[in-house]
Amino acid sequence: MGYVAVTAGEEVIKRAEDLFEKRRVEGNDDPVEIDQVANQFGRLTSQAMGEGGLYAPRLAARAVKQAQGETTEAAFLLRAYRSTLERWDYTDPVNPSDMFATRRVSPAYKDVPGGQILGATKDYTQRLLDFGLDDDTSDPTVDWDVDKESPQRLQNVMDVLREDGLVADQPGVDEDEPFDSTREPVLFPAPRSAVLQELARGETGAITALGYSSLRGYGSVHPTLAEVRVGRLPVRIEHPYTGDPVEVTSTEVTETEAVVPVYAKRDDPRFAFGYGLTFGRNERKAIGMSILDASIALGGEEPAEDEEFVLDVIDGIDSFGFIEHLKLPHYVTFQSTLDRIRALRRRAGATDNAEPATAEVSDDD
Amino acid sequence: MTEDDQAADRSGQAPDSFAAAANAETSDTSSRDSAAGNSGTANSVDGLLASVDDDGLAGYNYAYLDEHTKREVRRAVLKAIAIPGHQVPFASRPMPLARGWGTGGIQTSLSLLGPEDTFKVIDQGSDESVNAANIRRLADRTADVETTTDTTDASVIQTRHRIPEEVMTEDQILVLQVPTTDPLRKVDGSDDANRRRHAHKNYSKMWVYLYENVVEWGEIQIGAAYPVLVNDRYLMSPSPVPRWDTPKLDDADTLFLFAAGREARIYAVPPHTDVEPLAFQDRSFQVERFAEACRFCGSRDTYLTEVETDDGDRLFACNDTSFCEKRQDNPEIEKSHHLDRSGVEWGPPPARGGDDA
Amino acid sequence: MRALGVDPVSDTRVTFRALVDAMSHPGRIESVPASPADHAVMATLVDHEVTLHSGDEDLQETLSNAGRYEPAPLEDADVVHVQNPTDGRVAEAKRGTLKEPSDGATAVYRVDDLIEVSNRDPENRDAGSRSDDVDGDSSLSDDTVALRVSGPGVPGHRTFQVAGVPAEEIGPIANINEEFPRGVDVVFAAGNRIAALPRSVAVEVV
Repeated sequence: MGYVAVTAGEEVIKRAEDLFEKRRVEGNDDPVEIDQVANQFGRLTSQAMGEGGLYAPRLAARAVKQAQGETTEAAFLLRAYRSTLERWDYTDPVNPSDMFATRRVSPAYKDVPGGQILGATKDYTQRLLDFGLDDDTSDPTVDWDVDKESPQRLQNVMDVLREDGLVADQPGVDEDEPFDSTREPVLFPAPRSAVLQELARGETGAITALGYSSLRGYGSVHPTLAEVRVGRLPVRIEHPYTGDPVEVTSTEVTETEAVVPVYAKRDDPRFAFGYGLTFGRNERKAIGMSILDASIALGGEEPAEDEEFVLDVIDGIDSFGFIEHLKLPHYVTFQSTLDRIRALRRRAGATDNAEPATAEVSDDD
Repeated sequence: MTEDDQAADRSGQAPDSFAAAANAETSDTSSRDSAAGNSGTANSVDGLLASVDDDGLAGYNYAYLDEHTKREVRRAVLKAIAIPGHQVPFASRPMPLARGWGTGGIQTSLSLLGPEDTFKVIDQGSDESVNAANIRRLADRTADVETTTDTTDASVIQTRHRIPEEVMTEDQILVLQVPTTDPLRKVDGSDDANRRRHAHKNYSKMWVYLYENVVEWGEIQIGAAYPVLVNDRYLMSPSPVPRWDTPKLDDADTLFLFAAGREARIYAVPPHTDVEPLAFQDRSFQVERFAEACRFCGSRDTYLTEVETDDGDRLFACNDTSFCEKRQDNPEIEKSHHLDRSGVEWGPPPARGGDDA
Repeated sequence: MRALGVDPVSDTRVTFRALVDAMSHPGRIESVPASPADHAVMATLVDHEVTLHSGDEDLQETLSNAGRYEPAPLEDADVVHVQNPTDGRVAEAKRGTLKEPSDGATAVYRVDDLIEVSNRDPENRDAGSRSDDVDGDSSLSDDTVALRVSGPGVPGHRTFQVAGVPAEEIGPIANINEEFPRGVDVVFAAGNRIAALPRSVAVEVV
């Protein structure tokens, strides 16, 4: 019949899926094991967990494998899975000072109580592609002398500044219960807990770009970081029988506190501040988040300071879905658009080479 | 606060232990056996429905959504009906299909559908488009519902970008998928500012926009998603349906529900409600018109879309494929053929020569 | 919800469809699968995400056992359950704001009876009656009101009778909804049937 249209029953959808899967197994290599992804691609799984809003390292590894490495797709799988799970309980709030930090740097001070702990980082290394990586499975730390003393509790550097009375209170600190944007729609102006939740679940690239915009000059927030920490935070619930708090597991998090020299009150100048926290290891997102938290609290005309703009654009699942939805057929609305442009061109006297003679659209001339 | 919604719903009593809660899940007689484990790839329902994950998930609830989610959607739907044209916020859940691909429509349909329903899904007027087929399968398997391609047989129709050609009745509900809920988005990106405009029926910015259209182009330039005033109170977007379909909303027999998952809003036009497209006295509302008839059934009174064929031809064909098939069998069949009365208004009046309604 | 005689999945779905029909066609009387109908409506709408004002202890206990009971005083509640007329106190129920009118309350009245009367539809498009016709009976007992509604969902106007609600209760309801879109949406429940007055309709006692 020569009729070209996008039609599909189950068969065509299945074929498209099979082609997608074929990519994953095409090389005839050994399948990548979930454990390999979990252990050797920790940054990928961290990003998937942070954007999915679900701390589950092995599930994240599975999602990353299934998504063939695409982080937002993996985060999407985790979010969809999370929404099917029963919610049994809420954890007790935990103080970040309970974190067992494996890395803590404080750019604000040269020395801090507990010391600057670089931890595992390649921040200072030269970025040279390593062609010897393929076969290297040796552990370079195997001969280290490890101090068997228990680690010191690290004092939070922001607390030092707070004790000196130098840090302003953030508005909205008095909420009884945190807002949960997965159970209630966010309307504006939003409570701070809703802002922080959305930022914590936000897409890494979006948060990085918007945070950068402030540093770049589109905003007033150029902070000094009081702390950047990576470590494990305990997860505690109330025991169902005894009522005592009991630690059931811990999660790896990255946390940042940023100090902003923008003073709200002339007669009592105090630092503004921003807070950032993500699942897993993702320092640029935590830092970006702290910039945005501070920017939104301070407000202003720039994009990074517009609470509604930021929260509207940083959700990776929303933006991914809507951008990619443009691939769906749109020929009905496009026909309507063609109708309009042809009417306007006729009115303007322009001609369309391929345009068939069309009926007059009445106007009142 | 602890609660165990699903298990408690099913057993009618609070569980006294987590193990009891998990067991209670399996004792509900209406939960389905066809369960699902991890969700599959974003666009695939097969992956979703394929297997049972034994670790804590006994299976999905009837019609996929848990009862808590359905209540949230149902409350929003009822408020939407009570306030025609107003966008009601609701806590939209992640679905196994991507945001932007009809998740609001799916949540609404799955909150409506039951075993006595017959469900039709169309996208761009066609039952066979990929996404429509996907949604239909999800409902078929999780809600145990009959599906159909015949508009006149369906009790619930979920649609993307079209309202069917055949007249809809008071026994039917149309669920429209909405990408952008606020018609004022054209003039301001901030939903918060726009909600304040809706609060005070302050639509002057939209009127200015339309006026500037006319000044610049001689006529209103909006293609699909033409803004309408509902119940003489709320400015509303009818979703990206062509202007051709917009008149169907006015004083109809059927209930229209509009749902957006990503933007987390539900709104409604009840039957017998005034719906007026915005226009000026001297620049009336115009629908699309076509120079040719449908190549396959000869219709001159349906919405057509252009098709570029393999051999370089351009033809126009009915966009509502299921009605086109009926017209191919019987070119005289009316859009109201299934009703016992004639002369029912549904859609634009036929073009008369060079004239337009 | 089985303690209330309501299947938590299928009965709530059927009740929801009845509520949709009742709100879309104000004044029409719809059936629900459980009795008393107000309990079916509560089981369909109420969980811990909404606040409830109700004096019904069975209801409170059932909802509470399911972790779905969030009580609130009448003026703060999302759902107001009325088993006896409120002496016009329904006027104090939440109406929402101009920006968020859907925050307005839903008032669910347990009444004695719902009777469909005549429908004057200029185009004769309304469906046939669904309950026994009242054959021309124009004398109403003291606690029965006849309400005529018009507006969205009603071609022309539609009349129905509610037994067990005094006329003095209707005035405040009509007044609240003059502030449309702010308002209170009302559901009447008798036996296994319901009828609704969404805030969008004009209602008069006839």
